[in-house]
Amino acid sequence: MQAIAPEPIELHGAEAGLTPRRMVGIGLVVGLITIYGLAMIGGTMKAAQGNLVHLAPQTFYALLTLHGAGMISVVVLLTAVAHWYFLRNLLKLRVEVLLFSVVATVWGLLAAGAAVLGGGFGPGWTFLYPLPFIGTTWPAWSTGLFFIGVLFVGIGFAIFLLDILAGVIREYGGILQGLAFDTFFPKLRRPGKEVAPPTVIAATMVALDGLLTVAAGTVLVVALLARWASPTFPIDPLWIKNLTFFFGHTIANLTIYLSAGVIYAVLPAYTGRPWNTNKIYTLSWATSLLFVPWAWPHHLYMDFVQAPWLQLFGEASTYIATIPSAVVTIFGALLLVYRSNMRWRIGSVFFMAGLLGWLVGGIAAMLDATIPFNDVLHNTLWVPAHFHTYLLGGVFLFVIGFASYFVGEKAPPRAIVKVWEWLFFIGLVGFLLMFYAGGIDGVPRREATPPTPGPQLAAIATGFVVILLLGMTALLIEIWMRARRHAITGEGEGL
Amino acid sequence: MIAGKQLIILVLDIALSAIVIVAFAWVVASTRRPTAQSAVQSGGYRLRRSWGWFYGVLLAGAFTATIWSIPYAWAQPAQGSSDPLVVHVVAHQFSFTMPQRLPADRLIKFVVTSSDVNHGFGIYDPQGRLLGQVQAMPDYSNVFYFTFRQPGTYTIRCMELCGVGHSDMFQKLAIYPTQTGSSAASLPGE
Repeated sequence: MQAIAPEPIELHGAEAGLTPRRMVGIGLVVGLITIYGLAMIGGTMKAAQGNLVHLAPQTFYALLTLHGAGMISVVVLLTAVAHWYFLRNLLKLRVEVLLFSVVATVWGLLAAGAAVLGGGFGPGWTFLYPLPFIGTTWPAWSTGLFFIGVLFVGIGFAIFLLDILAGVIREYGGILQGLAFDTFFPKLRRPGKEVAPPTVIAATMVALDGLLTVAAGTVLVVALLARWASPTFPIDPLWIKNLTFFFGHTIANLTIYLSAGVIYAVLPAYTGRPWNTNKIYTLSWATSLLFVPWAWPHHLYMDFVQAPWLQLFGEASTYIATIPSAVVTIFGALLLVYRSNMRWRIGSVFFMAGLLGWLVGGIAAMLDATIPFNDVLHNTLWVPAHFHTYLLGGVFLFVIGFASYFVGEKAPPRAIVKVWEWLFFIGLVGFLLMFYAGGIDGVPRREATPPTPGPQLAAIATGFVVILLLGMTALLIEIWMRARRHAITGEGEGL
Repeated sequence: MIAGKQLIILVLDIALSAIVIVAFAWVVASTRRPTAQSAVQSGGYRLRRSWGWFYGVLLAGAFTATIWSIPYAWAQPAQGSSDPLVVHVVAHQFSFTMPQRLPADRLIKFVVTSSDVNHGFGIYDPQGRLLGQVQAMPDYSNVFYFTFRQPGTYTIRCMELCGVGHSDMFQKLAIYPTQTGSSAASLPGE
């Protein structure tokens, strides 16, 4: 058993060159600025749906595409950077590799952004074949450029994951040890080595499933590029729909598992209690490793020609994939916090709120992934309701929590910070509730001009977006000012 | 007015979310009475074991319950013997080729496909409640059984982003009482 006590990193920003801390800081700043821009786009779309501003449909769908593709890419980037920050203490990882990943992602985002803003590419971030090629309102070059951008993001993520896997093998002797199977088979363990901590187990799982996902995404995008270059290139719509959702669902889902690696590292710091690895964690992460990639068929429940066993297996896998989160990681987090001497800071508040968002979003996701319910929820606003709950109300809160932890939280926050937190959470909850209300009312998602009561709900949601952005702006300024102050005083990460 | 499946979903979602929120609030409040980890750990592990079993049984029960009520034709063989009215639907950017009138209280076998991109085929009742849906995919036909219980003006709406005119892809469907309607053979669009 090994406790993952977070070791303070000795670097405080005064060093020359690309230090790990500086690299993580750059990743955070780039990611958060991008998120800010994409959130403004999201708010503009809500205002347009609420008839508060006018957007032509082709502009709306182009912005929708940029918002979705950009958010997924940047959330992967941010959670990867945050996870890397702690892995750096546990594995021998190269800062140059992280730099490469960040640069590749940024290039990918710029290419996708140019395709959308310059060309008006707008089939949604899932670019479901054959929509990118039929009845288009955008030039062909933007289609190709967008897919090349997606390839760049995939390459960046793959290199990042390969470096983690290499680090795990170097440090622990193999992938099985990275998944802590030596808790069951001690002979696997290297002499003098302790079992991998939960942060490493999470990284190993994400690396394996992530590489599988990137491989699928590469096949998908290369097939679409072939179709782009040669209109007669044959593609089966059902086959590519499966591939699209295998890629899309899994990549979005993995951000929560990247976040889990961060949670394992920071909660012990806030609670003053160690978080240990044991056989339960080994089983839990092995379950996630096996079943998370099998959840994608729940996106195709309404494709009745899909093989029956896949539909049922998709539901079962979705259910099974929730067990490790609900029974081990989130329960473990609550147990760690229960009656602990928790130091309440921006970071700890956001980590706890993020865990709650993960669970509440997960409940809504499971209801949607239940076949008899899916026929009244599929492609309604219930879908963005649940994924905004666990991405915006879960993963993004972990990112803000990490940013606050990263710049240092030795002193309790100023009293005014509570106001910013309340603004942020009121805006967040109100915004999400409008999505859920639309979903239960059957309002379809991805509508430039949704049917009633879509516009009314969108108009109210726009107000909540403004409140959310106000709170978010104030919190990020607060964290930024603290970072500047600590850069001067030399005070760094931690509590 | 929320009713039917939507009401069940809403009640389940609110109830389960409320339980989770209360549990979180309880844990957060407990940090006002800090104690050693060793004092709570063994009890926590016991609770985790019970919670794990309970959750596993709950999921197994939910899965078992749901496989008896899935909407696929292969899962409902009785529908095949009810002499359904076969209705072909072809979705296009941005309309449906299909009958504009159909009878109530008659099992209808929708055979749904697309001539271009992926679309959705969602059925909304006269009050605007979504009753069911199926995807319309090029090169494939999805078979979807449905019975309109009440006469009235229903709406068929695309449920999948299909291009710049997606929001305009909806049309009305008149459902007439069975005794006053025309025969299946006379329905247009079949």
